[in-house]
Amino acid sequence: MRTRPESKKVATFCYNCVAGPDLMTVRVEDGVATEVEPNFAAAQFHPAQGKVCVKAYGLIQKAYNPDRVLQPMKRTNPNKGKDQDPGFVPISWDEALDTIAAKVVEARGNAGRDGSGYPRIAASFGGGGTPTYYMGTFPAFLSTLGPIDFGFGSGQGVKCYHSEHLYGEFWHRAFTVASDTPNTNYIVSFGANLEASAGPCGTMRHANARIRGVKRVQIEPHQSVTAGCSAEWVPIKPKTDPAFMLAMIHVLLHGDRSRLDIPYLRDRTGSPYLVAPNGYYLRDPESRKPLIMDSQSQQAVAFDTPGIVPALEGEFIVSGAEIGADDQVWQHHSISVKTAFGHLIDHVEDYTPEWAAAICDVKADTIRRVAEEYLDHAQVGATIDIEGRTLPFRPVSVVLGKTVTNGWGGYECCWGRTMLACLVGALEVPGGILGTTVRLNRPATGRAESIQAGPDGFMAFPMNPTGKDDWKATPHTRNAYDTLVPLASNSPWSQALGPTHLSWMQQNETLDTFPEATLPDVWFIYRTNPAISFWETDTISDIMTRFPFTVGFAYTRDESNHMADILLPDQTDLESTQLIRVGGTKFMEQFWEYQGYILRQPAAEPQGESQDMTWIATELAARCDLLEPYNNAINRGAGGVALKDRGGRYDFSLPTTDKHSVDAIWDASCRAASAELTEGRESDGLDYYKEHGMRMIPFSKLRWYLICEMQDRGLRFEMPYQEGLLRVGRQLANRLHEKGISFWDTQLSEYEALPEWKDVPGIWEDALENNFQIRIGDYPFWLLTSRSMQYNWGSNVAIQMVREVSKNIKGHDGVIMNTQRAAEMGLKEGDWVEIRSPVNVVKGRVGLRQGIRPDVLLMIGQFGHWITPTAKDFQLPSMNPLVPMLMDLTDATGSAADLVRVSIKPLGDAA
Amino acid sequence: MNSITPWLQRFWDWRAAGNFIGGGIGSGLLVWAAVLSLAGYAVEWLLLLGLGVIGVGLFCVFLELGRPWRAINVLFNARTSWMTREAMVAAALFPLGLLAVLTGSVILTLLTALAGMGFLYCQGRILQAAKGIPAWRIATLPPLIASTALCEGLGLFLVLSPLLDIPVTVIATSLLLMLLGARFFAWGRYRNSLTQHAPLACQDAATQINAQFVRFGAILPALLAIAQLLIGNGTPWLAALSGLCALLAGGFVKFHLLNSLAFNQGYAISHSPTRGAGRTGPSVKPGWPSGHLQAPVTASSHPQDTLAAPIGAAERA
Amino acid sequence: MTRYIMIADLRRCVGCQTCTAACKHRNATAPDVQWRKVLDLEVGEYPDVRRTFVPVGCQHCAKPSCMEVCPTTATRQRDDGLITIDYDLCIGCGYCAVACPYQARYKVSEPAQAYTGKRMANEIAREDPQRIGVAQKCTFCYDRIDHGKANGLTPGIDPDATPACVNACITGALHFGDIEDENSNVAVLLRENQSFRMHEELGNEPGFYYLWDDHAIENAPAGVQEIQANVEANT
Ligand SMILES: Nc1nc2c(c(=O)[nH]1)N[C@H]1C(S)=C(S)[C@@H](COP(=O)(O)OP(=O)(O)OC[C@H]3O[C@@H](n4cnc5c(=O)[nH]c(N)nc54)[C@H](O)[C@@H]3O)O[C@H]1N2
Ligand SMILES: Nc1nc2c(c(=O)[nH]1)N[C@H]1C(S)=C(S)[C@@H](COP(=O)(O)OP(=O)(O)OC[C@H]3O[C@@H](n4cnc5c(=O)[nH]c(N)nc54)[C@H](O)[C@@H]3O)O[C@H]1N2
Ligand code: SF4
Ligand code: SF4
Ligand code: SF4
Ligand code: SF4
Ligand code: SF4
Ligand SMILES: [Mo]
Repeated sequence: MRTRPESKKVATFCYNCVAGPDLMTVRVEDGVATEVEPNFAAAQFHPAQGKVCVKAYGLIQKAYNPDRVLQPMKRTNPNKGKDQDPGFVPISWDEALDTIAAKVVEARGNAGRDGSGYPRIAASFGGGGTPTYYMGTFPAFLSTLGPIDFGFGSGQGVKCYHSEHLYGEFWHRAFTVASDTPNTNYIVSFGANLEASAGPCGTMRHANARIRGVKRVQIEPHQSVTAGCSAEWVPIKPKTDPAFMLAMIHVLLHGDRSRLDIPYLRDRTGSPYLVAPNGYYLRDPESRKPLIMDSQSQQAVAFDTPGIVPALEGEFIVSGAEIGADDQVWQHHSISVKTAFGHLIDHVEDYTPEWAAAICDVKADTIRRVAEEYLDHAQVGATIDIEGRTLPFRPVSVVLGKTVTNGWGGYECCWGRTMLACLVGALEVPGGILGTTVRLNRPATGRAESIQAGPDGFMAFPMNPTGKDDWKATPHTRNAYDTLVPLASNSPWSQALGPTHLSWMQQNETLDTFPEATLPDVWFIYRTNPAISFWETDTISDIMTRFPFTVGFAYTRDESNHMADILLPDQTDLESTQLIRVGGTKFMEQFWEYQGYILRQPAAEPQGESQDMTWIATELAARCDLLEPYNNAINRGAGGVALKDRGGRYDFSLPTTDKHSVDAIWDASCRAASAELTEGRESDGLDYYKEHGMRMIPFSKLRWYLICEMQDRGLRFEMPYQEGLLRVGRQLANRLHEKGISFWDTQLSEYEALPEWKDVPGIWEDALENNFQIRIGDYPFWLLTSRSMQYNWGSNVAIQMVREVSKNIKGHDGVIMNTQRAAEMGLKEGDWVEIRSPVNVVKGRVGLRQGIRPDVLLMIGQFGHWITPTAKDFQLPSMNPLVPMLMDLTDATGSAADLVRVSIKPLGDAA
Repeated sequence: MNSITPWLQRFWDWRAAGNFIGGGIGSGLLVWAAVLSLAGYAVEWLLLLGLGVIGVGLFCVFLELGRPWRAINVLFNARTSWMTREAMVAAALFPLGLLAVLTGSVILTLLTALAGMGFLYCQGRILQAAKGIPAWRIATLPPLIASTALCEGLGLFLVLSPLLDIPVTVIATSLLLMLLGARFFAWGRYRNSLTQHAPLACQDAATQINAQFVRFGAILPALLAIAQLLIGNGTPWLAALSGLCALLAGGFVKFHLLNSLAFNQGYAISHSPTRGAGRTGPSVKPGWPSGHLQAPVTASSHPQDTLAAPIGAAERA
Repeated sequence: MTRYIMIADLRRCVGCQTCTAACKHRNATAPDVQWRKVLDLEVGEYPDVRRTFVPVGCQHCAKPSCMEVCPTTATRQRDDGLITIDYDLCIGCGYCAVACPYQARYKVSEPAQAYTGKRMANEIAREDPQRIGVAQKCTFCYDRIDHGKANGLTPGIDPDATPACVNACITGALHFGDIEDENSNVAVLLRENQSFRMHEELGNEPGFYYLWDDHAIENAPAGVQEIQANVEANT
């Protein structure tokens, strides 16, 4: 055994996917980073006990990858295209930065907007928001530039948990939703592939739960690693999940309803609200407050009248006002009305398990049994003690995966899941389902903090306005999120969560009545690869060729920066410095008992001429003559920590007129962080964090459960009846039609008070038939995608070690298909096939598994690279070239889903 | 290597095969040399050739070593390693053989043959001890190794006999015929035992080999030998041809034994685990005949009719 | 007496390969050399299919067929059960590799190079000429064990005395410890759960156990009882 030189361990973090950040140490020998290890010193704080997943172990090869771009480059070939050699030649940082600064300064002319009113500067960041935690003070620089279009998507958002993001935050401040795994005993998972997607924090929680004896039923078309680790796998037909959930709700509501959580429904939801003939709540004419029936006085009274016992069911003769869209008012006298709950019961009457069985291709008994097991495990009435507060204990949860929570059917699924929780009182209580974080609501510091009481007894939600005089008739960004999607709201995240494919689609055909879709004068791309990750990627690549000036931060050459004009080599994970806020609750399944700050610090020598993102941001700010606003932004907290306390307890603000070094900026941030966590008592700087890697303070577990805040503030979850959405939808319809816009009409149909089953798979089939004049029968397979624990999107595909170990898991060598079905087609393991959709065709090898529906094909992850070094030789197919971007496939939230119908043709050995 | 089913070992290739081929032919030849020397013939050339062939075989393994210049370390484990013992026997074999050649002593010749057989025995045990390769550890292999070595040795003798002034007697030819029969029988038993004790891929490979072996390693040489016997003396080339077939077929079998049949053990689990409140599942042994696994097998779970589990309780089959 | 063994809890393992990667880091193994790896096994027919992830590697057998055949005594068995290879004695004959029924052994003839033609700083820093041309396999991280014990730590309990793959496992599926000590973590796990060893019938007596079920719910870890108690107390 060779003796190893003296080595030191550097504490840092990995945030290569949204399941993080996770804590680790890196061993450094003679200045070379050699070994990633858990950070056991952080075990007590970190939910995964200081451990990182396999992807983090790829970071050493990432740093030393010989294919990295290591000096600034400029394009010499003016022609852009897949087939064009960009002719990148090395240039100095000065030349690169001056060129960019000149373009930026120019683009800031006439208030930074072009003839169409669209921002002249655009920026795209991928990886589900993780790039923010690598780009240092770049956001501070961006904040000085005026309007920026963040709406050119790469998939995060519209291909992601999109409906869940929007509806989740609307209903329970849940940008994403997780089960309270440490307490839950029964999990119904519709394609939540958590053993691949939830990182060490998630897998650790679920492994412990399994040993406890949790029962997880994994419902999805292929047996993912998660299904493999579940008590039961139910192979459902793609996109029919809403039917399954509606049937579960039917079983619960049309069985013994006294087993449901009556008090919860009565006091924590809008179930008792009375619904008037036009579908809106019946309200008190003066106060306009929704009315409920007090079962004691048999009077209809305002929902917040003290000391009443609201009736959940029944038909009542009452009077009141009804307020519809655009303040239309109806006065009703002695009409017969039902409660929202009553309407719900009627609504699901026909949605029987037998009905769903035919749609989902799942036995009716199975659906009924899952519903009954769910109820059996709910323990309605039980309580649990959390930090001295007695809370309801409902150890049952329903969780949804990405392809279930986006595109058509997403609304129904998110509603169905939230409804199932409400029926047994499992929403936001121990053992039930919990939101992880907020992105659309402010402040983002905590979910509870973001709650504001609305007029009707629910949480208020900052919808984009749809009123006659406040609706944004002309979009001010290219994806029109605030014109078309009220639920997208208007936070810094909203643009990226809008219908980001519209930004692309409009480049080929401007939408009716919208300003001519222009391209930004300057486009920054960082840690995202739309040319690989998005839909219809050939189209995307083609549009990219038209961007006049693209700045690509480049780790290696890739398919998106192939169209760039300037490449900037940024320092990667093990080379750069940044302090980020952690703790509390966060997706995928991070539930901390601490909160605080962790530091990313260099373990490896910076390679080549690569520079820290913070250095780049500062240089650009200086060269754009924006140092002052830039430093001000940092002082305000654009770097992640406000350097000056509003309460005046501390002030580490940087002098605004001069350029500050990377270390100086983070030292100030570290001091502010220390002070913030200690009410100004401590002020340890960069050195402290370099030594300890982090600083933490306790975070009360009670803050995991929104129910506490709801109880304390006497608020209700806006379930089951979606009066608010109904009104917003009608108003939006009015606005659009007044403007003569009809392209959004189908989307408007999603604004229902109680979601109806729509033939969701049929929507895809019809869309393909109508748009491409094909016979759907010629495309007999559903092509789906799935996460891999070894990969973070397409981000680490070129890392040899990752590729090597991923091959131990089935599905990383091509397209997965059912063994028997393959046999019928005369296909053997490893045979080459051609997979064709109505828009494109790809080639790959088949991998055979029993664990997949015969009518389904699966392509894991994001491959199909054609320029990214080493990855371009994989010959692995991707679904993305095959999936069309269509208005018909866009739902009301502005998202579609990663699935498409395809045919498969054997190629024999002719590859 | 990402295979979950047994795959072909890649540690020993044609070089190792060379050793087993050389060892077989050489030691076989030494045996016949001894027999002839008893009958009073001069067998120096046969002895030299036998040693030579074995020597070439040993040189092949030398080429296989990752650290050839430490080859001497091979002698360190006489206690348990048949490879060490093979080396030691070889170390005795060569001086003995050379002495026999020089002195022409029948005794020494017999001793050399004895050492040759020892050498062959070691090779048989080497394969038996290679526990990772089902096709080698099988008990029916040594008879095949022994019978084919004698075939090969006699075969080579018959090939050479026209050159040497040793007449091909009826005895030699009919001996070959008998040995061919014995080898054919040993091969049959060996293949048969593969069907119980080897991975499917190995069995398929054996089937492939079988066709050629039976044709050119058994039937053809047998016919030639019979023809020779019927036509009688004056046609030694018939016997020679028969011997050549016997010889080549032996090499052929051993080459494939090392390169086509040498699938490793692969992996197996005797139970699929419970996953939370789910049931345990059946055993798995990818690439092996189904139901092969000895360890107990619990019934497969039937997700569609599992019952609601009490909290924490695991359902069992 | 001490015998160190490893346990893989198949109920926990999700096949993430973090252990595989951690071993590659710790031991700087060449591309495609995986002293630890985790298999993805499927059994049954659609729709009744089971998928199990199975960590494999050197089993540190009590009756190691690799050692028996080794002509140089390079492969040895320590008193604590670890099977070691003396890289200076080994002649790279590969006999041990074909004698191992667990496919645990590897032989590499040139220095590691993840990206052909371009060696990386970390590869150069970790280059180990001793290991070229000789047999190699999982060492149970004996260097960590010995260093840890020398510093009064307990293997399997203290990270600094515990194999890298065990430390890295993100589901707590891997455990390491002394099976001879009836109070050790591994002894307790084996007592409370049903386990099997791979290829038991071949008689190598592997030092690697697979947990596949508990004996009964009353043996289930504290978690369940706590929650149970909590529930009963409050209903
Ligand atoms: N087929 C398929 N497509 C999908 C999905 C799917 O499941 N299947 N998922 C969708 C979802 S949910 C999402 S969120 C999106 C995400 O999709 P993207 O946001 O595009 O994510 P990545 O593929 O990770 O893009 C990362 C890019 O950044 C580069 N990069 C990596 N590290 C660095 C670095 O340190 N510095 C710099 N400058 N660049 C770096 C990589 O080379 C890579 O090109 O993908 C969507 N697309
Ligand atoms: N290791 C790793 N973890 C990640 C990421 C990563 O790239 N790598 N990305 C992060 C991001 S940005 C996201 S968005 C999440 C995604 O996290 P998940 O949604 O948990 O993961 P996916 O595997 O993308 O989800 C696809 C699963 O849904 C199933 N599925 C497909 N169509 C249907 C359907 O119609 N019905 C049902 N019931 N199931 C269906 C597929 O079988 C597959 O198992 O993962 C996050 N975590
Ligand atoms: S899950 Fe893995 S890749 Fe994602 S942040 Fe955590 S350690 Fe990094
Ligand atoms: S697993 Fe193989 S290498 Fe390890 S001790 Fe057992 S026989 Fe030897
Ligand atoms: S390769 Fe080395 S360890 Fe293996 S048997 Fe040969 S000498 Fe022994
Ligand atoms: S014990 Fe050490 S050497 Fe063996 S697999 Fe684990 S990390 Fe690798
Ligand atoms: S790290 Fe743990 S969970 Fe992951 S594959 Fe290895 S043993 Fe299984
Ligand atoms: Mo995502």
